[in-house]
Amino acid sequence: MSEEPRPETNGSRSPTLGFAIHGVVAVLALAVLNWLIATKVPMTVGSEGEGEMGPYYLIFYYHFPGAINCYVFFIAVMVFGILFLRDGNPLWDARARVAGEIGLLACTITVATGSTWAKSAWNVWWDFTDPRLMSAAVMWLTYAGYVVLQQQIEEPNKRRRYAAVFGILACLNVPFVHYSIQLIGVASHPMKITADPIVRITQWYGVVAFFFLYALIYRWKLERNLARDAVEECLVTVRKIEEGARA
Amino acid sequence: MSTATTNTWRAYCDLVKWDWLREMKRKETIVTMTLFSLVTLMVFSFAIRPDSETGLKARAGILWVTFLFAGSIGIDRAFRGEGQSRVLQGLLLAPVGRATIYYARVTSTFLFVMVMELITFIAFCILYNIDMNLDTALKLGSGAVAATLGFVAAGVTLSAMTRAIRGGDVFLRLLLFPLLIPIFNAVVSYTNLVFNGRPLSSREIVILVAFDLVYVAAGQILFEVVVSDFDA
Amino acid sequence: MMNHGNAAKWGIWMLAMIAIAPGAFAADEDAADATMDRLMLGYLLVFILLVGYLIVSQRRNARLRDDIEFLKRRVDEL
Repeated sequence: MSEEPRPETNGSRSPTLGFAIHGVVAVLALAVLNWLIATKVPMTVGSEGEGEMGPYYLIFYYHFPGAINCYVFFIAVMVFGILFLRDGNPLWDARARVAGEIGLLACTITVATGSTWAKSAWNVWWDFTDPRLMSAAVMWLTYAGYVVLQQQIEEPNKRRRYAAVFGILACLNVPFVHYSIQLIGVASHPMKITADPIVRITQWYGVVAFFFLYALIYRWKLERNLARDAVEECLVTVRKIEEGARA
Repeated sequence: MSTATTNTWRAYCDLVKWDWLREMKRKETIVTMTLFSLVTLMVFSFAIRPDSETGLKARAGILWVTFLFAGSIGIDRAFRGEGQSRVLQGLLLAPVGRATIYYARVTSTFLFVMVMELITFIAFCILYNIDMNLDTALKLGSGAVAATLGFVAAGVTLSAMTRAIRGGDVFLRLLLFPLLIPIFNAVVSYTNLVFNGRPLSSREIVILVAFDLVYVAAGQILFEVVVSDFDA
Repeated sequence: MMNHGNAAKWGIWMLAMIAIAPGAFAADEDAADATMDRLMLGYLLVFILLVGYLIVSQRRNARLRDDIEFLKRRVDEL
């Protein structure tokens, strides 16, 4: 085997280049976002019914992209799950798994920044009446269950099927979570900011910029998982051959 | 109507009857569920005194937490237990539709949990000194029926899913409870309104009904996926 | 599943996110302005380091992936 030259597959160079370009684009996008936050966006902002919010509100420009992106990835988990159930291609499950982890990461950032915001604005570490914070917390618990499910079941066929099923149930739950959170009560500290155009532009641009970053991490993790699965397959085949040779 | 429909209906009735008869033989599930719920109520009574002001404000929540925790035992038992995997295997081999199996299991589990809830509620009224009249009872009952249905619909699918996983009983609760938070929220809010004699709002009822519809439909479809290539 | 490398990365990322808190507490507007500039530069540095690490690591993974694919093909032939 050592005499055979290792074939240099053509594919090895372009995925890396594509990945690097993606990375550079992400960094540039985030640089622009940070520049906007540092210079263009107002230092204080009015909020509905709350009077002025001081500079601490700026954390919103990291909080909001986290929230929107976590929805994007959680919807992806459901879509990939449905696609997996339809044709049985394990690649869909691999994608769903990573999407779930990245979504959980975004959700963690949402909850952490939301809590920090609540503390600096109203001196409470948690605000039960804020719909976005509470929804994010419930979704965090749901998808933490999804991620643990993916990690804990060993038999691959079972795991992929069950994960797809739960991914669908979890995503179906999201609108219910939103609609029912408002039952807790009217938000006493609404985290709503008055619609200044530069604020709106920055917050939605932040969603795009952070999406590039999250998508980069997603790609990275997916490739690692696929490589690890390929190694597992090799080992399984080698063991089978060994047992066959012994028999 | 075609023979197929009558056959399905008869199969469904037979399955429910059979589950019920099996349970009535030793009453394992209902007895353990109900005892656990009474224990939970008692523990809560020490955590929050029913006759205190906090107890008054928290009573609806305490009731439904008790129902949730105890009911999850019944849901867990839907597919886990001695000989259950053989039972399921037999059912899947029989000429009965998967959907029928799902609906039958949901119905029987629902009935078991409702029995537990009824007995628990009587104990609850005694502990929390609540006078019942027919109107309140009917309102509470319909709320409980709606919530329990949603609870069981999602639970049966997850129970089938976690029956064969190592540590599956913990997984069942880990996965099920977050999914139930919306409907739990709605029914506690609804129960509070009924207890305090306030007019009912539409939001809770919409959530309860919509959740039931969505989760019975999704639960049935996904149940068929979960048991598709059955292995013990 | 979570090896130390992964945990360290997510840990750094989390800390970076929480670190925005000092800027959040700035009361004086002028002080907040200067703090914000520093914070945003600091975050940019964190992003650059993270993405740089991902790119380098991905290049290594891609080469490994080729080796694995080659191995797989040989094993399948056997």
